[in-house]
Amino acid sequence: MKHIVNTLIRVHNYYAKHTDFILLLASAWISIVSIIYFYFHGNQNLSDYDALARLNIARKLIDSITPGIGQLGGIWLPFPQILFLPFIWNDFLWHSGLAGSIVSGTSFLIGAVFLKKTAFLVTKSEKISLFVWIMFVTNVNILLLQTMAMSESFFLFCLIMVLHFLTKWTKEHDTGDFLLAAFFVMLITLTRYEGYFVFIGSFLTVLLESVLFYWRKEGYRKVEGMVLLFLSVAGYGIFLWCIYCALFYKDPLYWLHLYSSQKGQISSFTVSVAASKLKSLPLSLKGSPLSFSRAFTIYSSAILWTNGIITTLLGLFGEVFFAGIAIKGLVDKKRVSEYLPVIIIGLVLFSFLIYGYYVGFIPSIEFPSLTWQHILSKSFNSFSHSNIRYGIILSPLIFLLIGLAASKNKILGFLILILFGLQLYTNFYTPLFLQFSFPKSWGYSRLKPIPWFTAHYDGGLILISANRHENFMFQTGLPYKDFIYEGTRHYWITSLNNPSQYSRWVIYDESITDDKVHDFLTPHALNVLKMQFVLVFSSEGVNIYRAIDKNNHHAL
Amino acid sequence: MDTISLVIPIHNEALNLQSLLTLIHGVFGEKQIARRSRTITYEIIIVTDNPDNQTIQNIQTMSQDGAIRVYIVDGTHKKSDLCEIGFAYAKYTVLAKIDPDVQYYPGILSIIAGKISGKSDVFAAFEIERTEVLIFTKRVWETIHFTPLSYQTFNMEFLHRATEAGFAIKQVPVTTNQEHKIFHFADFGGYIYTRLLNLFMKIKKVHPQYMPSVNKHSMISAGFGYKKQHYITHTNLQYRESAIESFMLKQLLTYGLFFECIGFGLLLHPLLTLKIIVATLSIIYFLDILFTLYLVFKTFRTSHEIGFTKRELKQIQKKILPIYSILCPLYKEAHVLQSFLEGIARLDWPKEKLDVLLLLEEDDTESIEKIQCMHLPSYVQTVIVPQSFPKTKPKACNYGLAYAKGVYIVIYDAEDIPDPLQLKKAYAGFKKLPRNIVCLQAKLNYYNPNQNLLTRFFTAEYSLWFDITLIGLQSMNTIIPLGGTSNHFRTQDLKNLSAWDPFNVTEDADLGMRLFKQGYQTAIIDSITFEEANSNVGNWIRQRSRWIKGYMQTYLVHTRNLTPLIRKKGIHAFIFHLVIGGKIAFIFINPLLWLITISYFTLYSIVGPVIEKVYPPAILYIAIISLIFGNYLYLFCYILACVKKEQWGLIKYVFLIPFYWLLMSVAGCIAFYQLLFKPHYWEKTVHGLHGKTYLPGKRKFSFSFLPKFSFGQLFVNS
Repeated sequence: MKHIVNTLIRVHNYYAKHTDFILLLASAWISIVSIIYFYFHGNQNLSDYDALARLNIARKLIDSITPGIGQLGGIWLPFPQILFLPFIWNDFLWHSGLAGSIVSGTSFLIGAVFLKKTAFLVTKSEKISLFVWIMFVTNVNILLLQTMAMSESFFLFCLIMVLHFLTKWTKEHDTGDFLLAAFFVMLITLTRYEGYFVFIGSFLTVLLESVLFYWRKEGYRKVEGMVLLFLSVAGYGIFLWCIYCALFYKDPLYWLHLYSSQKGQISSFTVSVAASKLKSLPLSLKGSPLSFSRAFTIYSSAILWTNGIITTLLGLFGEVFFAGIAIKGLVDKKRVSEYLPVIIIGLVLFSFLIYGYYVGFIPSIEFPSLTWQHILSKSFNSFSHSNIRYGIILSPLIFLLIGLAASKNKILGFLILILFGLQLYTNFYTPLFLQFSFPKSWGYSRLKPIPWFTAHYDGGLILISANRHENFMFQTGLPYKDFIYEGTRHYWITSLNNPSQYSRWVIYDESITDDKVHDFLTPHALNVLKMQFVLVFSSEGVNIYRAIDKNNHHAL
Repeated sequence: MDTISLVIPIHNEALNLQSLLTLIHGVFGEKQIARRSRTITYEIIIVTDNPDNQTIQNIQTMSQDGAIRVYIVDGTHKKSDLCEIGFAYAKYTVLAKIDPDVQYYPGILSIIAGKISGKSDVFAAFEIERTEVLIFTKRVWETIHFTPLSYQTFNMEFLHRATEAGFAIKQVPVTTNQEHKIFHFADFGGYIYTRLLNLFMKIKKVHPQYMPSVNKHSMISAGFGYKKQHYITHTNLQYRESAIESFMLKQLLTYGLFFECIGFGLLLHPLLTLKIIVATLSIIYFLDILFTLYLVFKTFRTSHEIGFTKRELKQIQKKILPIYSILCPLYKEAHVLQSFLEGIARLDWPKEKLDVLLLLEEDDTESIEKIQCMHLPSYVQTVIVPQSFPKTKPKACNYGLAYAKGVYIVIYDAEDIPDPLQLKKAYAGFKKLPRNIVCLQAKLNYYNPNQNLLTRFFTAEYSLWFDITLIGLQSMNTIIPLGGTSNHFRTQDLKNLSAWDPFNVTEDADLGMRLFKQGYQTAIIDSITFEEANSNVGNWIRQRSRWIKGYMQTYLVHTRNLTPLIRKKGIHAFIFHLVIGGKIAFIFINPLLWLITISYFTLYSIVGPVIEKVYPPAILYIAIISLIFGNYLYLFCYILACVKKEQWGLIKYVFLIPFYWLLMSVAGCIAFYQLLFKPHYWEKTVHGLHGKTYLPGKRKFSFSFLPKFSFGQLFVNS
């Protein structure tokens, strides 16, 4: 017995001494196990169309008939795709999706450790911060996202880093932390457009803290200097993106115009396997919301589903509880600066996400409405639009708020622990539907024409709309330089008028909207298609044409 | 009493020698003294090699004469070598070279005797076109010291070199006994040969000839003879290490070849040539960005500036402190002296161990008079620097160095306000740092940053230079171009380094490089000297053009021998190219690249396709990174510097700094023009424009937003 006690003490001491390292290893272990599980469980790491598209964008940078930075496109922010570059050159890592998993997984494990460190900064409790870490690494949706070539995992990582360094700065006022926070804000603004709201929140935090801390001591010049210093680093990402848009689209605000006109909402085209079933089900929303309150309800529901109903409610409780503490602190003239980042960024991010959804910047979110009927039936877990994942963005803030609430009172802390345990338990062992689970909803399957096409493809360039057929292109396993698509500039424009100029194959789907080959082939091109190509495959709207060989006129 | 050493080189010419000696004794001997008002002390130095028996016998006889010294050199030597040996043994300051094979009339030597104490440095007694006798001061020989093509051309070459070295030459016609004269060039071939030789010498460039100082224990009066002029530099720095010549022949050929290649390339393969140029420039820019990033990283990772605790400084016992010399060169700046003296008075150093030297130029009578009227503290003395060329600050400092009594020495400009603890910090620094650190550079900054936009830019730039760039360079143990003032040395070290190069208008940067090449290092100490930021655009351009010109000079001087530099210093040679050469090049290339960028966006239809052709994809990416990320990085470095210096109010102005860069390019063009046509011209910066006396601790305020500018200021020759 004594031996066991001594061993436990030694383990505890070792943990106390190497907490970060141990948690890093534990996070890495969880990450790797998840990747292995989802990879061998029907390639779930490729189950979102966006993941394929992002992998393809990265691949196109180096593998295209017109390779280069222009392939980044103007719709998605580019940083995650750039991060895939060191791995995407490898065909296996590309087609397995692991090129994205490596980046997302690394973001996840570092983010997990820094979330714990941030929690420690605000709660000053080792146990509570460990609890926050557990909440993060046991969220099944985060676990799936960290296996995918998506931007969410890296976004969460950046958000955590911003929260961490800003919190540290508000406590210690070290310029190094300040610059690091600004640096991660810059990265987040190059990762997802929600990052722009983080930028606003961080800016307000810096402004407020600078005014509170420096104005009296060192005058307005320091406040002005700190704000400009922050903006010069944090705003550089937005500046870069505007420059990119100006260079390639002759409009620095291309991204804004694109989203405000809803032309470029690739995500709105992200039709998952389950999507076709959605039409017949009682979903909360289809199309853009019409009122602010509706937007609020919808986005709040997304948060509740993706983070878990109990967890989110605990977070809300934490927010209320903590707001009370903060207000009391202000009244008592105590310094509450270290809470500012979590409060301000949390509120700004939440508010602006609703606003963005309200004005239509964010694509529609479709998911089961929050009713008792749905809560009591797990079958609803299968149906959702993949955009429900937007709810996960606030997860680090929710976990931190729960941690804060738990740290203020031992009994409260214990109660919160029990409730979170219940949330976790119900996700696996009860029929209650308390958390929408991405892995249970999303799946990856091969497209019908793919086996035929791969069997009959015998070389030549393929004219296809990447806008709607990223998945098709990906599943062919062909290098990207075999395709003529929207981003191939001269080849694309010429081929739409005369497919025979460069292409040997022409593929389009007449059953869907926005297939740009189908939509923009000119009458002359259609004539060429008729005269010089043969329709070799046609099924469920998908038409595949092949050029007639000059020496061999028979079709396949 | 006049003295003369008569040097006679002989090759077994005993017969001629005997009669010559008789003649000499006849002219200079005791019998003649009575006939002249003054006494001439003389010695005859006979130098020979491999003498035959007759000569030996004669020599033995001659040796008994007290006025004659005979040196027999082992082996076979040219007569010119014998001359050189003779000059080396000469005791007196006036030398004469006499050929034994010429039969002189006594008159010729009488003339020599009569001219010894004249004002000319060289007397040449000639008959028809041939110089028969040379009489000159020892300093002339020490200066022009050369190995002639042959002994027959010795006199001709001597006179040519002496003329080039700026010595006053007086030619005196004489008559020799033609019957006994031996003509070596009497034949026509010989005549042609002489003429050609003369022509060759006129064409052949004579490099600056070092004039040693009069006193061997001091560098005072040392200098160069060059282009028929004396340059008194007060340093024993050799011309190869000096900017007295801007370009060496090798450099001219290299640069010429380089530009010729570009020219031919543009004529024959314009597109390919442009692609190569663009690629090279883009890669250099990219490397500079990487280097800047690394520098910033090194600066912030671990600060390498030498810091001191209050306790450490307090523990320094006053009684053990040595004398500290302060050099303050002044030129028409007496109006700012009062605040300087106040600053010096505040220095925490025992005043009895302070040796402040105000270095005044002889022709600056206004300042001399003003200072004479001032009541100077006992530790301040004035030193009048004699009028000579070049008229530069480093020359004044070299002169002052000779009078410095301190174990340590520092240089301050007249408008400087040093940190009161700076001398103590430097002293403590020297004590605790390794011996190879011979210079401690205090950081410089401005006390009038908020005067106008220009001073704000200037202050931000200084903060970047001293608080990031130099600290970064120090952390890499590499070359540190010193700042103009507040560099502290051990006096002896500075003398060993030959002090400053008076021909280099940024003598500080040059010295930093020179000491590094010799295996020494510079360290930055955590102490600030405040100066006055230039607030007038014209004045600023003139000052900056001098700095850029000085950097060009420094670059040219230290790239004269690239191979040993690379072999000895490795990567540091590359850093030198980037920090000094790169910065200069960028000043000229930047406006061109900005023009290309702007025209690409604004005049795309006209120039766009051409620019796209010139930039191959890979290079385009590098160029875009340099353009977008590089420029941002440079701006951000300014911001970081302001943050480090807590100059928060300046940050917003940093975003306008590209306009300041543009001004630099203007100054760069002036600098380049001056490098070619007025390389040693010292553009004097006018100080005291802020119109206020700086008092530490007093609240500073903004005077105006925009700086004053008048084109006239650009051409003020102060």
